[in-house]
Amino acid sequence: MDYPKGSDPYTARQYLLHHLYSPLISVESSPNSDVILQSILNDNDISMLSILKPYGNNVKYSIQNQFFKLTNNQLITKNYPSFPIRFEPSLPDLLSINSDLSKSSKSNSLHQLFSISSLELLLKKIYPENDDLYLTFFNKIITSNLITPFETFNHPISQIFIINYNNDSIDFLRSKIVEFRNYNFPKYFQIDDLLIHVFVLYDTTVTDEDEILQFQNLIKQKLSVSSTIIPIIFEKEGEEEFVEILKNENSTIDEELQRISLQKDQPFEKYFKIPKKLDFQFKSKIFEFISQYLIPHMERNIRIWDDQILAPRRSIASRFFSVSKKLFNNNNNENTSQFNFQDNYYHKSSPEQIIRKLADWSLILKDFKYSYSVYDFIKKDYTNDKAWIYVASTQEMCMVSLLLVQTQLPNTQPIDKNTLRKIRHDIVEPSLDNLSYTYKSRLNLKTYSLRTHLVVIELLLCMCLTYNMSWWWQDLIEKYLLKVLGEFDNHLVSSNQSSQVIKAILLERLGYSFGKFQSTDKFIDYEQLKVQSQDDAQEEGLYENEKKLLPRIDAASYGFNRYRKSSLWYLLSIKEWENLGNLEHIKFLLTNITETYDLESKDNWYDRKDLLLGSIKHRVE
Amino acid sequence: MSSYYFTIIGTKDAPIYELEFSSFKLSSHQIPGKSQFPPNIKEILPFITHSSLDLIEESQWSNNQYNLGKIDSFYGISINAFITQGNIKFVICYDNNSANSKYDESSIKQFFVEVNDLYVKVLMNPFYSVNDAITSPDFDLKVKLLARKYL
Repeated sequence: MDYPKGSDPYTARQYLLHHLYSPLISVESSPNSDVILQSILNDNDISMLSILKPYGNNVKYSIQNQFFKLTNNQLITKNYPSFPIRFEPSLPDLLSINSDLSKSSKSNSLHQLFSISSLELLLKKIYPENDDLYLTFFNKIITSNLITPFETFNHPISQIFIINYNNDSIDFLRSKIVEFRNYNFPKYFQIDDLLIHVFVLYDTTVTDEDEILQFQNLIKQKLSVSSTIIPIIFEKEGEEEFVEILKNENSTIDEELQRISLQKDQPFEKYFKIPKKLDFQFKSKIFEFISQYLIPHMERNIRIWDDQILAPRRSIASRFFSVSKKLFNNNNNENTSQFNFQDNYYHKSSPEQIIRKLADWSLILKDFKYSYSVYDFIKKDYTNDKAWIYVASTQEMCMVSLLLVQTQLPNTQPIDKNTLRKIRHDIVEPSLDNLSYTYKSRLNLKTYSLRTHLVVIELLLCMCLTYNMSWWWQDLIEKYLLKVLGEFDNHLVSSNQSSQVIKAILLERLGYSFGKFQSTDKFIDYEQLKVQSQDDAQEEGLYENEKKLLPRIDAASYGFNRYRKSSLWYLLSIKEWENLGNLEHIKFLLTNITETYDLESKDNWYDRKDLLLGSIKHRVE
Repeated sequence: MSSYYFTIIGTKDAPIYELEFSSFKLSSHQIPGKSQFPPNIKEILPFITHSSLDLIEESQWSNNQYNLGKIDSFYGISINAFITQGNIKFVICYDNNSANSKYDESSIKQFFVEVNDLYVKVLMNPFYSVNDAITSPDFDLKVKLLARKYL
């Protein structure tokens, strides 16, 4: 039964895989390649990156029969219909944004994942035109291009240079690559893992294909860099067909705010209009890049790291060695760890940093089980080194990868009670407590803890829906949502803002999670039950006791759901929205409480004017 | 000093009697017995009670006591419940700032038991049928006396 209506947690799970745990590709385009694109699209504000960005989401912008082959470490190959990637500005640019941030916060090299006040501001600006607010909110929280030492999801996996064959020479390309390589990268970032790739654009009216193939070979020979060619096809005016591509795919909170404030005066254009032929070229070439270069590159690296770094560490000999080292090294008090306590990072060549990357990359390649085992393994080393930020982040990933395994859809055999108990009491609860302590008290990074909580809540909700076992998780979900709510509230109140939109969204989520609660493992079709009980019509001519208390309509499902609780949370959410004057959304939310309250009739106890629902109804009418 | 919101809920989930009051102990500076709930809580108190029915109905299957004890809490408000033989529910919401909650639990239980006696007397009235609102001033007065005695 589709009640209450709300954002499906499985969509949130997908967003997680698309916008957070997906490869980040940094792009640097030459001015000439931007020019050729601008001339074909008749828009002078467009850059190559802004066009590529939406195409990274190959769920939405897919080619026919597309599938990606992913081979895991056990050499099992699976096909996936999509493998989204994120195109971001080139690494030096990303880092310069970060360093600006860290200058402002002086002492600490770590900074918040996002700004809560700008999130609230953004949501306030976009709520009137947005229909799925919770998902937008969730999406904005998980989307980030902040490069941190302890998480490698935002470390670029590949660097793409885009040049225009007709105007850029090979020497120009070389100088670009050299310049890039000589950049002073942070010490935790390993440039050797980066896949350097070139996109060559060419104008089909000027250049023919043989010429460009020769050029491609030349690049291979001289620079030993692989390349992909993208023909730019100019068409006669009036004959083009256009495809609409969403502009703000995968943008962070700040980018979104910037866009809104820049376009205040002009009408807001949501879409790029791209000629159909060019659209096809982009899609197929990006597909080619991912399946022929990116995925093999990642798989190769994972195998190498697994063989050379993880396997020796996992062996018994090395365990013994490390224990004895600890026992005998006690006297001279020498710190053997490679952790830099000043700036909170491991050096790029230290095994700890590489193993973390190995786990992250295998998660990106959807090998959740393997990555869980790696996270679990490396966590102990981080704890020994007292690298708290790494511990917290690895704990987060342990939980996430474990829950991702459990919520993979084709796998729906019920989990046995002992496993569930272990997941709950040994993994989720202690890890979340622990990491929120680390993030908040040790490092003052509460936004990370907020993100983790929200991600875990969504994954737990997925689990509840798949296996119908809400009674295992509902109290945790409620507890965590309230905790998150309290933290957002505290932050915004202390900076003299009210957290209305975030609060309303989270309260709505609470209502949703309770509405989906069923406390039996069998699915009960409530609609069906109602129909049946109405069918038991009275026989005519028999004495009928008018005072007789009839059994409840929902007698069979009595005490098995939480609709009434869900309605209470929805009511509180409606109250917040009422203050903001969002009538449209209130009307939508009112449909989510119809199971509990009869909104049509007038003389019920909840219609009293001094009660919340009564006053809301009055206002809506 | 705690404030209380006491409701009797009929079999069709509609309240048939409600009473808002505060503890009569230690009241020095305000009107004795006047509840202290802030207005934003006041307007949702019946809904809190109503939502706790979900939990009452669940725990009534696993518990063979009439008094279900504390079953829920919501924004610092605790909820205790009692279920009669006729499936009428007594629910009391109170703000949980008194230190000796154990003492509270047992006195709420006593209160429930005695209100149950009163309710049975109401039920025996031939002019009263189940699920009607209880409007008898005598009942009201007696419940208030009980509240004063126990809470």
